[in-house]
Amino acid sequence: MVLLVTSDNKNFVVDREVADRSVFVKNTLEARGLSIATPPMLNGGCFELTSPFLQVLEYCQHHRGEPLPTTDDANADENRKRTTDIGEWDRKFITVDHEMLFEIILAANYLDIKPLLDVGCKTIGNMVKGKSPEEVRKLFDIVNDFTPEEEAQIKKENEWAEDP
Amino acid sequence: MEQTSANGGALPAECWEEIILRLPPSKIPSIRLLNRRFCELIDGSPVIKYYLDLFSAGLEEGADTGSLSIQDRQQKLESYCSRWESFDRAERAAPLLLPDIDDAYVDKGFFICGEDAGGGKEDIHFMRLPSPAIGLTQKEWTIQAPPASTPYGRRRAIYPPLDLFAISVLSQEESSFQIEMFHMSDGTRYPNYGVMGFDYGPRQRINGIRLELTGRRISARVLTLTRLGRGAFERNVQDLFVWDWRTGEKRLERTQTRIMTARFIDEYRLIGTVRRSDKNVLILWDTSSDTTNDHMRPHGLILETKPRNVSGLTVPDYNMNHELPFRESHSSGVVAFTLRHPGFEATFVEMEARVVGVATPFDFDLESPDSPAHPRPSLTGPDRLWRHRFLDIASSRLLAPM
Repeated sequence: MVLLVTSDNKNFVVDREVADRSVFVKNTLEARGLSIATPPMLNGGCFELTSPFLQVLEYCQHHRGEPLPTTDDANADENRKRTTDIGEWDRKFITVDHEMLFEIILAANYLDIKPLLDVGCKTIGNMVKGKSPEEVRKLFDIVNDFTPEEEAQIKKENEWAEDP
Repeated sequence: MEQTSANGGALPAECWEEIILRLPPSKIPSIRLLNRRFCELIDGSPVIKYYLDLFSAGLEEGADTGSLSIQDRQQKLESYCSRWESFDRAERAAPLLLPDIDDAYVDKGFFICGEDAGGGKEDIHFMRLPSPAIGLTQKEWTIQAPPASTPYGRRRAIYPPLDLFAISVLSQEESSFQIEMFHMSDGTRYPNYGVMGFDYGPRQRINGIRLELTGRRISARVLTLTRLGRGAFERNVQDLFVWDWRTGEKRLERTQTRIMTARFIDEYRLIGTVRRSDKNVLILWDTSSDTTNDHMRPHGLILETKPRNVSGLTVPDYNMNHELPFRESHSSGVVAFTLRHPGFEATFVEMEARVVGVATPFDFDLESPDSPAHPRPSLTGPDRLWRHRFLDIASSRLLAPM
């Protein structure tokens, strides 16, 4: 069993097997020989960590014991990245509001849980697909700070880069 | 899913990078449009640039890039680059292989050639076309120079397997030619995009370079058209360079010279189409201004094409350049219609056609085609009588068994 402490000082006691889903936690534990880790100090603490962390834990619980993607198998890594399929359980799991989704991605990135990062990023990717830039801005509350001239210029460049 | 308005800006750049790297490459430009931050993120990220480059490199022969690993793509990219560099060196080492072209070189996969039209202004044009292999649709062909400020600006390298590309050379005055287009990914040829311009000037000769690029090989050829007389050209094809990059075979010397005489008839005008149930018939009239005495030369052609080919053609809009490989007897060939625009824009319609009939001046009950008493009929001018007469003849021939 391992004790995990979040940045807002909540304690979680989890199985080692579950905690090891996070490469960050795994490496920290192995390096220090400790059973306590203080993983996420995210972004200056501007995120309330407990709720996404609970989600992350749920994910790790579900996928406990599955083989971790190894870093040297780059092919598998690529295939995993490229496929847009998300498993049934994962899809249900990731059906959360955008804010939570972002926090899960953030946590997965920080904790180095590649499969979860994939699920999160692909979910965003699926949302973005088939949407115009304006729709994407609206979706994620992104402010368009281009001047009309700049926007026209970038559109022009894009014409050469890819099909619009 | 609940549509809360989460602040996407709160996610650090490295997370967005992860998201972008999981998007299909064709989607990335639209992300670039979101705002400054995303634009800078994409332009400034070596990983994303690398991803796009690698993706491009995986397009060989329309490969399913989804199954290619980054390592595979990197390898392909590197091997393509090294091949093109070698090609580049070879071209530079043998500049004499490119006659009549002032400036030609290979710049990392772009074969660029141009002719100085005077005043030091370079008339180098090339284009980059979206590749169907990355799920994009092919657009109408328009030949234009890319804006200098784009990432793919003038002479800027694009890796060869990326796309179709075309090179055109604007030369002085009336002679010009375009080079055939080839699809790098799947090797599809678009031969009729290489419609040659004709030089009616004193040179009587035109040289063109045709570069063939397929998934398997590069070959460069020089086409020389020498005008022998009215409607007759000698066509000289020289292979300069063939490189099969699968087998490694390359031939740099001028090993193969094929000379064939072809007959080019140009400047026909479409004066009518006749639709029948199973085919379309085009009726064309020669409007060449050249009056060299040539009795054997037909003055009207009746072409038969498949029905789908001519939809949308309207009579006055099209001049016609066509090349029919006939000498004594007429045969079939590919006909290219060229819609001429000022400048260098052109739209081509190509079709298979079979010559089903000809009309000569004798058909018009003239004693001699060049009899001063019977001047050459003009169908483009006010002489509509001739036009109707010819249409009559054409129609009657269509009804008669050939």
